[in-house]
Amino acid sequence: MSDFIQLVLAGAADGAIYGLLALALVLIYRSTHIVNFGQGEMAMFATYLAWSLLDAGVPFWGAFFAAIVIAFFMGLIIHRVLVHPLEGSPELTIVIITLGIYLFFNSIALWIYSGVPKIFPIPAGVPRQSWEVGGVFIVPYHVTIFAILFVLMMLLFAFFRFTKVGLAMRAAAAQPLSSTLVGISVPTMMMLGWGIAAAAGATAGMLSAPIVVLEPNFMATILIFSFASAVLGGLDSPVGAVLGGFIVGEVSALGGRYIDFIGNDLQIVLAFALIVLVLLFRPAGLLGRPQVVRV
Amino acid sequence: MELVRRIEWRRNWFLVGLIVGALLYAFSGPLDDLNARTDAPGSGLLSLAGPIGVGLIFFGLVGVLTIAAAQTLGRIAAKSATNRRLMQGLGAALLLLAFIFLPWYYDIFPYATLYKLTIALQWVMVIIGINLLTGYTGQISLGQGAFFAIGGYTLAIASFHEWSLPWAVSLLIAPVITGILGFLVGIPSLRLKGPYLALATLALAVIIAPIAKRFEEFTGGVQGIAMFGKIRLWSIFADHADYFWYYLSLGAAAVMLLVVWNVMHGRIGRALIAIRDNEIAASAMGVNVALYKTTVFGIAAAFAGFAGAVNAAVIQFASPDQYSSLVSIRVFVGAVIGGVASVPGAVFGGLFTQFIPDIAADVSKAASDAVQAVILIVFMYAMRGGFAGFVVQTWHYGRRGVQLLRPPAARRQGQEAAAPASAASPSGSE
Repeated sequence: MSDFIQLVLAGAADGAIYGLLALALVLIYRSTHIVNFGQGEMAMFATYLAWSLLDAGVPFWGAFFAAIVIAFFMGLIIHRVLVHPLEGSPELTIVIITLGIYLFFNSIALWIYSGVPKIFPIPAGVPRQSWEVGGVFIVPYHVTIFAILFVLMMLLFAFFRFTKVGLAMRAAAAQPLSSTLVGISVPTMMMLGWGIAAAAGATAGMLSAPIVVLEPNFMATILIFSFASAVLGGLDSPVGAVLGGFIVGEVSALGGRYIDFIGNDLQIVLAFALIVLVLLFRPAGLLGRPQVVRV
Repeated sequence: MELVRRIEWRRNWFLVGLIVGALLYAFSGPLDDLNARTDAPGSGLLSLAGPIGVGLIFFGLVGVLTIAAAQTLGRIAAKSATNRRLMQGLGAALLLLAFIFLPWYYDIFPYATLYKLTIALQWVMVIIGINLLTGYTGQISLGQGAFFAIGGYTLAIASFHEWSLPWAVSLLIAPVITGILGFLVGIPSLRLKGPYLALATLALAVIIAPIAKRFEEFTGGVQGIAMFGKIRLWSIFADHADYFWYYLSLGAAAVMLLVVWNVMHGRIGRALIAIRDNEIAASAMGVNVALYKTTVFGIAAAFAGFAGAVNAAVIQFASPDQYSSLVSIRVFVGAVIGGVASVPGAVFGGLFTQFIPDIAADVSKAASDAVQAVILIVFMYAMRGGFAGFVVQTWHYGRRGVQLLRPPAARRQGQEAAAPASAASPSGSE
């Protein structure tokens, strides 16, 4: 039994990270209706920047928040320079642009930092020793991940619910034309959406780097699982993204352990099988709203 | 000064491209020297002048030639439908001839080898399928690489690993198997739209390699299945295996192009376009949306499967490493860059998929993927409808009449008022 609880905890920690990156994907999808294939690599690059700062002697939390702020501006710039000018062009064109973002950051990171894995430390002040509670080991770092995810969710919720900018962003996403009429600058709101998403992605990157190693491809697998989470929860639902992340995390952790056939190699297959199954019954994800098209 | 201001820069950008490209190319030698002599940061950018110049000249030439063709041939084609069909046939025949005789003159192109061209033709086959699927029914599939892999493994397993069927038979079985699989995958895909479908198909691309590793007894696991020297061609071809595979790929790609072209210009094509533009309206008109969509999924998968089988035969190997999700993404990018609802665009897309990594590596060894990314992004900026879209646009511009100079300010107002009426008439005749 304690083995089971242990697995559930580990799965939840993975799931929190998937959920965080999925949240970034959802934020971009809500504001611009783009699935950003470059999200993971943007996060990877921000994590490398944080590593550089740490390497230069900046204290952990300083580097952590600096990287988040840099990522935020990186998101703004990418939207303004690469995505916004192509507004209104075919969906496929924009998919290619985001694949370009993917390739670009991946290659630049490899070029600057080389492929040699770097060690990214766990946050300062978090004990390395696990706590034992009734035969179950609780890793303090996992608790940190949950805490950061929770705080971030609350901040985002408060931002979208109680601030004027948040309201404007929701309006711009839901009714672009009407929002323009009441004086909201829709492009600016979209840009902000990209910035916030990039910041959330960077957080996911920096939280997952200590668990896996930091190398230019480390976000690729996480991105795939995050796509799965975002789709599972519904691409336009932030809560769905986090929920989807936890489900995907648990399913891969438990499935890998208890279904012999799956093992460690086929976890990703299991996650995807689950998603296709869910999509068959709810084509817009668990919490997504199906789009009604007028003919 | 007045003259410079009156030139229509935006519409005639390929002229600008030609001039700037020629200048960059002319100065690329001295700039390279300068790069070699200085250590200043960013001086490496100087060495980019040559490649950028060549690229600009290439597209400038394409633009100018298209306009020239539109002005001369376009007139003849517009006279009657027979003329037009004749010229389209002639164009296709010329393209085919160019490819048939390619083995004799391919070495004038940089990077080209017969082997790479053979593989490029296999990408063309996959891309024709994507064209059909995405361009004509609007279903995005990021999973064609999975069918490509299944095709390759079908050949390897059926002929060399588990059973020992003649390889030619396996080559024909592969598209049948992938076609059926594609049809089956198409059924659940009916419920998914846009990004959901894209991600569900991406799942296929991602899981194929782990699955191949897992079923070791069939697929040879991580090591894969080697077929070196085991493929025996009929004795007449035995000494010219590379030519044999080139022409086989060319023949197959040509047949696929022909089939798709004919299908698209008939009843089925109109039904598919109706589905892409408005599914509900199409079904209200009596189009069996589900049947068409799943069938197209099956056909696209069969094309990819056949390409994969030929590919495995050419490289004589099938292993999980060569079927990573990157394959799916690369062909998808090639399809979009070529122009997604266009049959000839597939040819450009296939060549692009094969040769762009070489070109990028030539520009910068250290960050070749970054160069590739920049090329992709610039491409999508300049040509939103892909290469084929660009040619079509330039062609229409050429047909309407090239305007090098803007009319003088005094006359312009009168012309603008008349513009809607005059713009409507030429487009009506096409």
